[in-house]
Amino acid sequence: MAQPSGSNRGKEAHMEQLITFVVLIAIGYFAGTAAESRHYRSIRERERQFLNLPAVTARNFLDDREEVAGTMLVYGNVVVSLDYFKRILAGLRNIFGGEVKSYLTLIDRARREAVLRAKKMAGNADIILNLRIETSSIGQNANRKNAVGSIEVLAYGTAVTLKK
Amino acid sequence: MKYTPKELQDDVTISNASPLKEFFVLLGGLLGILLVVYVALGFAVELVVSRLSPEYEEFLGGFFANRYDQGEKSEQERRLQQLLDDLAGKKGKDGRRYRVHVVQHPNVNAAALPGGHILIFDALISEVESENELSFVLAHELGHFANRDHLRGFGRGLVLLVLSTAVFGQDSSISGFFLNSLQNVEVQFSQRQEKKADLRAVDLLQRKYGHVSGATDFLEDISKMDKKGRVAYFFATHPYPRDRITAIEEYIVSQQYVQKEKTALDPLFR
Amino acid sequence: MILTNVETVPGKRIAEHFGVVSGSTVRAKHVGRDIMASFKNIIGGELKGYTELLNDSRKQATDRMMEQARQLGANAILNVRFATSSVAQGASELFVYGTAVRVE
Repeated sequence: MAQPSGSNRGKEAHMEQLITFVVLIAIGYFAGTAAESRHYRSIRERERQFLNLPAVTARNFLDDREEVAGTMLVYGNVVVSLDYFKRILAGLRNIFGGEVKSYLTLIDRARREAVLRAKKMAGNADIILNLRIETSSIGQNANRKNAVGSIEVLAYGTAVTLKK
Repeated sequence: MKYTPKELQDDVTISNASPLKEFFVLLGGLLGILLVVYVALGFAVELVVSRLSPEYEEFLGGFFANRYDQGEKSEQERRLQQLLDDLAGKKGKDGRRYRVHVVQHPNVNAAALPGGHILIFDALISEVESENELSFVLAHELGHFANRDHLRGFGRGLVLLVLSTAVFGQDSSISGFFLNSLQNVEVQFSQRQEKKADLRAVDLLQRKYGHVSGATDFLEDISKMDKKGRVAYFFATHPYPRDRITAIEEYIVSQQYVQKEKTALDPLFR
Repeated sequence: MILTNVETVPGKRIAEHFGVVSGSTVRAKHVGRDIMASFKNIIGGELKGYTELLNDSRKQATDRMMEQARQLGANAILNVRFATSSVAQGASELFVYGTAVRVE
């Protein structure tokens, strides 16, 4: 090829792509990390608030002498997505294998948040019975290879209020 | 049932290991592996290229030729073909006839394709000012054929593509990133090829015209046209035009080639 | 630590409970295994590499759940449920949860 003035435009586009990539990673890392620690702080705080409202996976968990004042189906859902940095990290992990830690914290946050929302809905109930937690992937990236889409976590159970 | 509210002290699921460290370790590992595979495949391409028979190359070239050989040759193409034949001999060194095609394209560029096809973009034709300048461009492409760069370029490009698709799947952002990194390595390689083709083109000019005037004209035009810094050129497939001009001038001096009157450009190209 | 997937621990009395405990892990297979599996997909049969991987991961998730229960002072986990999802393609997520209790 004799000369590039034109083809350089292509190369510069690559350069730009590279810079965009690095910038996105940096934004993803800093913003993502900050958001995550903020979220965890809030989750811990609310978990302490709801410490007296237990959720259990069992169905018949009440003593015979306890009298029920009311029951209600409660649920909480949350949709979360990975930041750019973690997405790339997960992509790299997909090549080498091993535990995808970056992904784990995301799901962990989502689950705890969903349970907290269900508990919030339960209000001043005394216990949530038969708690179930479902996870599903949604969004356009959900089924693309190596692409991590958004995840929805749904937590639901039966809130029971006892007569005092 | 008695409930004892208790708080979890530490989170066993969540590790405190720095994700940044994990990222760089993985990235480094991946780059290392890819580089090794790439270099190995590069050698394989080199081996194949030096052994590929002209017949098979002709066959490969057929894919391109069909696209460009359609329709009547324009006046410009016929005139260019004459120039090319003068430079290369009616039949090239390897007994092959080189063919030139003019393509509508806004880039000031030309390309060498397998099977002896040279593409000249019409934007380039409108830039050149003398026949010698045009001959240099053609001779530069002939230089690529002599060095078999056209095959090498395709081979290595193919290797890159296959590699990244195999590892990342199509069209993922990481794949784009690694393609770019490897292309930057590739660029260093192709810059050497360009300089070699330039010198070969100077030899061909001397043989046709008996002097080498106009050899650097095209590159001068380009360096005036693009006012980009050296940094951008580090990433370009072609060396900085000034570097190429210097290399050509040094070569002309060392070979004691002379400068004379340039041949005027055929009015056809105006 | 006793694990059950029924409402009780048969033969024991539940003294107190501590709510839900859970453990999870997300594991990715390396590219080599993926490629081997794609060959295996032609002839069918058990993908031993994957079986092993999922088993290991499930065990890790269970260990994490038991660690949580231990921290709370429980000695059994009731009504344990396993859930597997492939939220990111090529990576499986194993999640296990149950109710931590102390039995006598």
